[in-house]
Amino acid sequence: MIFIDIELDAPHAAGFARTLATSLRESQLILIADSPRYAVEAFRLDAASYLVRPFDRGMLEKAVDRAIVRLRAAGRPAIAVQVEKGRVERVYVDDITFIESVGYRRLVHTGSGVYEEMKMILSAFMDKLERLRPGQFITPYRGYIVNLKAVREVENDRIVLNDGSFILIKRSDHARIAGLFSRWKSLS
Amino acid sequence: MKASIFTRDGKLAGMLVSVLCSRGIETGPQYVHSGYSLDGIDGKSGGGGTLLS
Repeated sequence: MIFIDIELDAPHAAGFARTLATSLRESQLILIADSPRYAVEAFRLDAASYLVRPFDRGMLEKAVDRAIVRLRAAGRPAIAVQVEKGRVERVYVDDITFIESVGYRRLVHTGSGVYEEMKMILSAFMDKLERLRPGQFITPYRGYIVNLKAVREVENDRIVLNDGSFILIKRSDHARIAGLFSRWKSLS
Repeated sequence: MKASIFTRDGKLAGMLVSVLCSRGIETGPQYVHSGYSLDGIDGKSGGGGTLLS
């Protein structure tokens, strides 16, 4: 768990926090500042909390408890999904069945519900998922990301998910997708 | 579980150490830094940071 008081050396704080976040991925970051100025950077770094002075002991306790929960769940990687302005939901990567892009929306489908992401584009999702679970997510068709863990079988023109729903694919992509599925199954 | 703290705000550091101790998280002067350095953090080489007054 790492606490960084940004006012300590404000010009270098964001870069330092970035270095820490990338070199110590299993750690949880709590940023403390005098203003909301670095809130976007905190969100980008997936900080457990961003505290703005003045705050009391109760708020600090909440921030520490949140970091503890996240550290305990570290064996289950998760991504932050911004479901509405100022509200972020933590979604466990393994719970995701698929993500689809519908117009300007990205819908994250999980076993327990659907989350609508406001900002992140599909390629950014894929980058994050590939980093957390290499080879487990594929892009079978434009506008879709599928978790191979949620796949029952790959047919000629569709991917059938464990819950019976399906995602259409091009017949010409069948061999590629079936190959990825087969390789993932053999490694998992 | 360990915690590293980067601040020059002694009051904040004191409150943090108190909260962390109450939750059984290991902390202490060697984890409180008054400058930005990776030394002493989670296995990184080097000693701890500068003590707060």
